[in-house]
Amino acid sequence: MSKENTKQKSGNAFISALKKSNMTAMAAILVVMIIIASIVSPYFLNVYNLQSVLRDLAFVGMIGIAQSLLLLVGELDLSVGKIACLSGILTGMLMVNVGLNPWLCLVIGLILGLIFGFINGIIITRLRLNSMVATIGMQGVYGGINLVITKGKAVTGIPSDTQALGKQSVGPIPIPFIICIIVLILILFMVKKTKTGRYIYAIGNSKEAAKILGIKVDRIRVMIYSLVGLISALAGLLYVCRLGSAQTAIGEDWPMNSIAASVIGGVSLTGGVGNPAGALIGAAVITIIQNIIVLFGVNSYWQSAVSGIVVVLAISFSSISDIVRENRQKKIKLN
Amino acid sequence: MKILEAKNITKMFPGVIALDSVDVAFEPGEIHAIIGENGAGKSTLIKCLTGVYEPEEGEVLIGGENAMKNKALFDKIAYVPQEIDLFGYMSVAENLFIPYEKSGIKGTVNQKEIEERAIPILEKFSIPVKPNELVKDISISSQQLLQIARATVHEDYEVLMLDEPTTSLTSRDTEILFDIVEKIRKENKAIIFISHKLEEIFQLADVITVFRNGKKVAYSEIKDVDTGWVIKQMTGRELDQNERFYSTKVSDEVLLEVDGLTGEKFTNVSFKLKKGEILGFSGLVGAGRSEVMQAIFGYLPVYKGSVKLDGEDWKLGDTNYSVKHGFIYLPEERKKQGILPVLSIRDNISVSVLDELKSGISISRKKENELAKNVIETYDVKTPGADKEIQFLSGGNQQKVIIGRAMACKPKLLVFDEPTKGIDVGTKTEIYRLMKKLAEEEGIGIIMISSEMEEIKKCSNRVIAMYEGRIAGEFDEYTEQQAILGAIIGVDS
Amino acid sequence: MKKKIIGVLLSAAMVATMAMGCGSSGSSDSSAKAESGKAGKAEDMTFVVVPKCVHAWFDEVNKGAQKEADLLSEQLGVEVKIDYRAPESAEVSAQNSTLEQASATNPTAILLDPVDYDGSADIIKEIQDRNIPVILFDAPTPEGSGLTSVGNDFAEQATIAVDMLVEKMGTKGKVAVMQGAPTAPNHAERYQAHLDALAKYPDIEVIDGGIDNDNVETAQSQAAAVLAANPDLTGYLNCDACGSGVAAAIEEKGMQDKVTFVAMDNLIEILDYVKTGTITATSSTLPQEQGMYAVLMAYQASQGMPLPANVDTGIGRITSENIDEWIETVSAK
Repeated sequence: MSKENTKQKSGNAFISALKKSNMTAMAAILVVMIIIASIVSPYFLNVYNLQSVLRDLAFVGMIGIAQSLLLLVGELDLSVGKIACLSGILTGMLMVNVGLNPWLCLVIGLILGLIFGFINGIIITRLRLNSMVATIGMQGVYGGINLVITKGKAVTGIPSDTQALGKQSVGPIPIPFIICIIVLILILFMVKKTKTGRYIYAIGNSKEAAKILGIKVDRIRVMIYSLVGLISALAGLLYVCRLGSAQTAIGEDWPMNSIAASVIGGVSLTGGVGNPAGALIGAAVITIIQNIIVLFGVNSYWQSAVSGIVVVLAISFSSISDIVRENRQKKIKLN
Repeated sequence: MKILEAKNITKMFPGVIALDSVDVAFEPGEIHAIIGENGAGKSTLIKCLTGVYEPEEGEVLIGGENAMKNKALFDKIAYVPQEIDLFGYMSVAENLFIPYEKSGIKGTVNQKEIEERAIPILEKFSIPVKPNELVKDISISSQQLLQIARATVHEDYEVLMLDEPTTSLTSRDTEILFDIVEKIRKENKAIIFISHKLEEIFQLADVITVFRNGKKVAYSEIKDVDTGWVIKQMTGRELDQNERFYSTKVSDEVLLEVDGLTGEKFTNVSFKLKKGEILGFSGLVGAGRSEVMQAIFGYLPVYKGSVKLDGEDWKLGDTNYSVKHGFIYLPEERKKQGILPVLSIRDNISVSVLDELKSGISISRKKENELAKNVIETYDVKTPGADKEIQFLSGGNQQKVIIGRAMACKPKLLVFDEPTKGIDVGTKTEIYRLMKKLAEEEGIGIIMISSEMEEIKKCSNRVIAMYEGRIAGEFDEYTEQQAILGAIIGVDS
Repeated sequence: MKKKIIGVLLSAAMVATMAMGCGSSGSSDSSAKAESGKAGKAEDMTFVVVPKCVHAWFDEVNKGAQKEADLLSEQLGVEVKIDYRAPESAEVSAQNSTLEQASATNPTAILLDPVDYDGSADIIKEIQDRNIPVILFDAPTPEGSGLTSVGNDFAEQATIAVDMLVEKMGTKGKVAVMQGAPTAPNHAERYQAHLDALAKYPDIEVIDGGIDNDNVETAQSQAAAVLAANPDLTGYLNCDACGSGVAAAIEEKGMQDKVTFVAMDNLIEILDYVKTGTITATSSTLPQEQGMYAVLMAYQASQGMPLPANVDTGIGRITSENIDEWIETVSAK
C-alpha cells in the first residue's frame, strides 16, 4: 500500500470517528476555542497563562477522569471534593502537627483517599443504595469530619519541598498536569486493555448481564469507588501543595465540574458509553472558557451566565449539526 | 378501497438495503398476515408504515393521501409493539388513555372519570383487572391485552398493527385475543398481523404477504396455501418439519445432579442430567423453571438442597464460580440480561474470555478480532462486521452471538432459557441443530427451558415438567405431547 | 454618615458605662436583679449566640462572648453562660429553626448574626414579645427594626485597605479589584467602597479583577487570567477571605515584587502570605470584640437599660510590622 493511500485512509477514519463520537467532536470544538482565544486575546498563548490554564485543568481533569469511570458503570460520586479536601487536611496535619516525613504523609494521604472511596463503595454495594443519594450523604460525613477537626481553619506550614509538587514545572509544563496525564494514561490502559476495564463497560451496559457472564460486579464497583477516592485524594494533595496550605473549602465545585467535564466529553450519564479521555477534553473546555472569559474582560457579574451559554452551545454543536443534516436531506427528498 | 398502501418503497441503511422496492396494500375488514425471517425487512416496513422511518424512495399512502407530506395521517395507524411498553407505575386506566388528547379526554384529567371510562373497554377485551391497579402488578398476559386495548382507544384509528402479539400470552388469552381481533375486523378496520407462529396465521388471517431479504416474495389468500408453502417462501428452501433434534450420543456419565433444591419460587427440585443429553424443562410462565436454573447458576439464592457437577460439590450463590467451572446460562431476557447493548459484537464476545486474549499484560485487539471473526463465521451471524453494536442485530443473530460467546468458554453445561423467543422459523431450526451438535460433538449437557411444546418435543431426550415450583413429571422422548401438557397445567397423569 | 458617628459615640459611652458598672459591682448587683423582674435573687444568666453557620470566624465571636461572660460572672457573682448554636448551613430556614429552639430554652437574651433579616423578622418579633432581648452582631441595624447591632463598618475596612495599598504602591498605577460573592452584602459593600476610595486617585487605573464567589480555587484561576492579561498590573485588592488564592497566582507568575496586594481578613493562610511579603497588608474585623460587646449589650438590655443603635468594634490593620503578633494570636487558638 502506498504512503498516500494510508494517509487518505486514516483521514477518512478521522472523519468517521468525528461523526461517531461526541468526544472527538468536542476535541474539534476545543481546537476552535483555542484558535479564537489566541486571535482575540494576545495574552492567551502567553506561557504563564497557558501554564495556569494547564494547572487548573489538571485538577478538573483528574477528578473528571475519575468520575468518568463511575459514570461508565452508570453511577456517580458527589463526595469527590470532600474526599479531596479531607485527605488534604489530614495529610497537612500529619506533616505540620505530627511532623512525619512529608513524602510519607503524601503516601498516607493517598491511602486515606482510597479508604474513603472504599467506604463509599462498600456502603453503596452492600446496602444496595443509589450512588447519588449515598454520596450526597457521605460528602456530608467527610465534610463534617473536616469541620470537626479543623473548625474551618486552614493548616499552614506545608514543607516547601513538597509544595514544589503543586507549584513547579518540568520545562514549561506544570507538574500537576504531568501527573494528570500519567493518571489518564494509566486509566486508559486499564479501561481499554485490561479485564477490569472491559468489565466496567459490561457492567455499565447491563449489571444483570454482567453478573450472568460471571463478572464479579460488586467487587469491581467497590474497586472503582476506591480508585475514585484515590484520585480525588491525589488531586486534593496536589492542591494543598499548590496553595502551600491545606484549606477547608477546597473541592466544592469538583463534583459538578467533574460530571460536566465527563458528559461534555461524551461519557453517557446512563453508563456503558464513553472514554475517560473525553473527560479531560471536557475539563479543558470548561477551564479554557473560564480563562478566556477573564482574558476577554467580560464583566464579572456576567461571567457565570456567559460561561453557561458557551457550555450549552458547545454541547449542542454536534446535535445541531445532526438536525441540520437531517432537515437538508428531507428537503431534497420532498422536492 | 385501500386504507394503507406502500408504493414501491426502498429504505437503505449504510451497507444494507433493508427494503427493496416493496409494494403492499391493506384493506378495511381484512386481516393481513406479514411473515418473514428475522432481518427480512418486516421491522423496517413497520417503521415506514408508522412514520418512524422515511423511505428513500416510494411513498406511503394513507386513505389515498401521501403521508410523507402530512404526518398527522400516521395517527390512523394504531401500532402495538412486540415488547410491552406500558408505564409500570401508572394505573391501568391512565395507561389506557395516555396520551389523553388523542383519546378524547379534553382539559384536566379526572381520575374517577377515566377509571369509569376504562371499565367497558376492559370488559370488551376480557382483561380481569381493576382500572386503578398499577400496571406492574397485573399479569404479563393482561399487560399484553391492555397494550392492544390502548391502541384501539384512539378514536380515529383505521389500521391496527399487531407485532407478535401472542409471545407472552397463554393459550386461553390467545383465544380471547383472536375473538377481539375478529370483532375489530367487523368494525371494518384493517388489521396487520405480524407473527412467527404459522398455526396462528392460518387460524386468523385472510391474506398473507411473505418477505425475504428486504423483498416482498409472495402474496396470497390464505385459503390457497399451506404451511409448507409459507416456509418455502420464507426461507427459499424446503424444511423438513418432522426433523427431530435430540442428541443421539447421550453418555452414561451423569454431569449434573440436583438434590432437593428449594428456593424462593421452587420447592424440593431433584433431577439428573447426563453428558451429551438435551433435557427439556417444560411448564407455564411462572412455574419456576428459570428460577431453578438461575439458582443453580448462582444468580438467585438457594434455601436448601445440594448440587453436584461432575461428581463434585457445586458452590452456590456465585456466578463467577459457575462460569469458571463450565456452567453457562443463556437468559430468556436477552435484551436485559444477555447482550451488552451498546458494545460491539466483538466486545460482546471477548468479554467472557479476556484471559485467553492477552498478549503480555494487555488485551490484544488482534486476538479479539480473530475470535469475533471466528464466532461470526462458525455460527453464521449476519452482520456487516464485528464492529457493529449488538443492539442493532436481529434477535436471532444476537442469540447466535451469545451462543458463540458461551462456546468460547468451553462449557460443560449449557442452559438455554427460551432460546428461540422472538426468533423466526428458519433461524429456530439453525439453533436446534446447533444444540444437537454441541451435545453430540462436544458432549455438553444441555438444559432447554421452553414454553413451546413443539420445540420441547423436537429437541429433548427427556422432558421434565414443572408446575407451581415443583417437578410435576418426567417424560422420555416417546411420551405423547398430551401427557406433558397435562403435567404442566397441574393435572395428574 | 451622621448615624454612624452617633453610633460610635454611643458605643464609647457604653464602654464608659461598662467600666463604671464593673467598678461598683457590689451595689449594682441587687438593684439590677430587682429591676429585671424576671426571677428572684442571684439569677443565673444564659446568652444564646446564633451565628450564620459553622465557621472559624464565628468561633472567634464565641470566644469573645465567653470572655465577657466570664467577666460578668466574676463581677456579678452569678453564673453567666454562653450557649453557642451554629446552624449547619447559612440558610434562613435553618437559622429560624435554631432561633425557635433557642428561644424555647428561655434564655436571658439572644445574640444573632442574621442570614437574611427580613426572613427572620417575624420570629425575632415573637422572641422580643416574650421579653427576650435580641442583639444583632456582624450586621448593620435593619431600618425600622429598633434593634441594636454590634459590628464593624465594612466600607471602612475597604477604605483602610485602599489607604494601605496607596501607602506602598503610590498614587499611580493599575489596580485590579476582585469581587467576592456579589450576593453577600459585606462583600458587595467592600467592593463598592474599594471603587469609591480608588476614585480619589486620578492616576490609578482601576480594572475588573475577576470574581471568585468566595472560593479559593476560583480566586486563583481568575487572578491568574487577570495577571496574564495585565502584565503591567501594580496593585490588587479583593473583597473576601480568599486572598490566599490570589496570592498563590501572584507567586506562580513571580509578580510579588511588582504587584502590591492588600487582602481582607486574618485567616492563618493569609497571614502566612503577609509574612512572606506576597500580601502587602491585610485587615481584620475583630470578631472577639464583637462577641464581647454583643454580650455586654445583651446584658444591658436584660437590665432594661437604653441601648445605642450601633456599636462599632473597629478594624485591625495587619502589616509586616505587627504580623508576628497576629500569627501568634490566630494560631494560638
